[in-house]
Amino acid sequence: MAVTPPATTEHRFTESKRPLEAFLAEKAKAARVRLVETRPLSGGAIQENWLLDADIPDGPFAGLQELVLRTDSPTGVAVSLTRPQEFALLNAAWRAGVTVPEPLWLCEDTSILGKPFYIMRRVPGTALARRIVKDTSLGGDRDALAQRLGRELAKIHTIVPPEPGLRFLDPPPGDPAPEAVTQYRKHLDVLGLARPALEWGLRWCETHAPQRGDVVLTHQDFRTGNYMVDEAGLTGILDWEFCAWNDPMSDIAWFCAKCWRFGRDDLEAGGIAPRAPFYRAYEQASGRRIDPARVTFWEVMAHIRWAIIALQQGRRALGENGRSLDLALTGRVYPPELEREILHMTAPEQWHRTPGSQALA
Amino acid sequence: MRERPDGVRLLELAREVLLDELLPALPSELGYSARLAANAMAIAARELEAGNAPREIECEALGHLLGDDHEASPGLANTETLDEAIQRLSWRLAAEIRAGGRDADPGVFAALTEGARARLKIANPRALLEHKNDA
Repeated sequence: MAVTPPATTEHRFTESKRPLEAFLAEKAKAARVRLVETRPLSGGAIQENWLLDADIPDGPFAGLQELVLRTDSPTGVAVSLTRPQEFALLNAAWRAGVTVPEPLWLCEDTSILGKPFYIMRRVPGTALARRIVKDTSLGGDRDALAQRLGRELAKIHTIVPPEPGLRFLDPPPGDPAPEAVTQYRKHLDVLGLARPALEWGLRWCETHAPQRGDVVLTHQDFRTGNYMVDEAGLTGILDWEFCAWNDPMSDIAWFCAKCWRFGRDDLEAGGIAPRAPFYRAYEQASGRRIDPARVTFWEVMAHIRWAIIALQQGRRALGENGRSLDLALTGRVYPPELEREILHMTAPEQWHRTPGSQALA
Repeated sequence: MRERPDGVRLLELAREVLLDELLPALPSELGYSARLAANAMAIAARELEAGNAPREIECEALGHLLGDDHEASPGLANTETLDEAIQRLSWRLAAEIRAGGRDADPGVFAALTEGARARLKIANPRALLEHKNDA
């Protein structure tokens, strides 16, 4: 969701311009670097993204470099990874051949911006979900775009544990589906909220959890709104801060979940295409068969997860780290809609495996 | 009786000023924040207009589900407020569902669906219309 950083952020950034130029000069092995343009890009409620145009007179990066600086926003969500960890993931994805903005330099020295940040190359296009869904002149042929995204996801899923550069991730789950149920119940308990509709969805998930399958690197926020397209097609997959070892079908389900179709419920693959081209390309590239029942489980879990994140953001809206109307509305507007969809997917006739249940006897 | 014009009307008028007079004069990068503010005012106005009725209905439904009917006011124990009663009953229902005591229970399903619908009517009524069109 787009947020405009408050004026104070911009002010702080202006003050940091000189030290940032010095940092870039050192990394680019240049005598000096001049930032000819810096402005905030619309980004997540969790991170700040800044456009940087750097004029570099000499060295291996000589020329006008179009860059993006990514750092934490003041109202970050505690569950997401740190910028240095995200930089490591971006590097792992880059090495695996995933289409991502090329990661360039990480800065953990907080004397420059007051917080860690990293620099990547800017890729052209837009990530705005509603625009992508509505404006079919973007992203090229839509079935081809869905196929491309299926192949990209298969590439992400080639990264498997143990991966030495990714040791900071939580250890791979022994049994992803039931462990996800436990994890989200714990999140609800920490929030201290009674949400019987989410409990209903979690209980359905508990009684319909699929058997353990593969465990791979999952993006965990792979959806329309988190990839960039231009007129020709895909230009980059963004937002790697939620990555985790998990069932690969959790990414398939997140991409297709009704809550991420942005008004085009008929186009079940991210509001851009039917599921078929997306599934087919993923299956061909990964050699892994997509089991619809497994995807359904993770799709119910996707709505539960987004509802809990929205409730966490609502809680944070009036927190110690600043007040945010954007987060407050997220916490108020989305949960009931998500709960209704969870209930819709788990109506009494959808309970097939309930050992010992009187209701289904 | 509330003083007139009441809070609902004041919020409606303030929202009109924000959208019709202020928004066109704002630099474009502030348009998003202005629309957020307008949406927050619309939600607050709907909540105020609905009053206690949706929560009374919710409290009664939870009370019936949990066999907690009181003669005068189902679900509501002697000294607690409406919000406290809803909290207490929601916790009980949540615990029963988690423990597996309400699997596929049609009564619970109907009450939860109605509860989500009632909340949506205040938080985002447009989503309710979209759903009706789907059906």
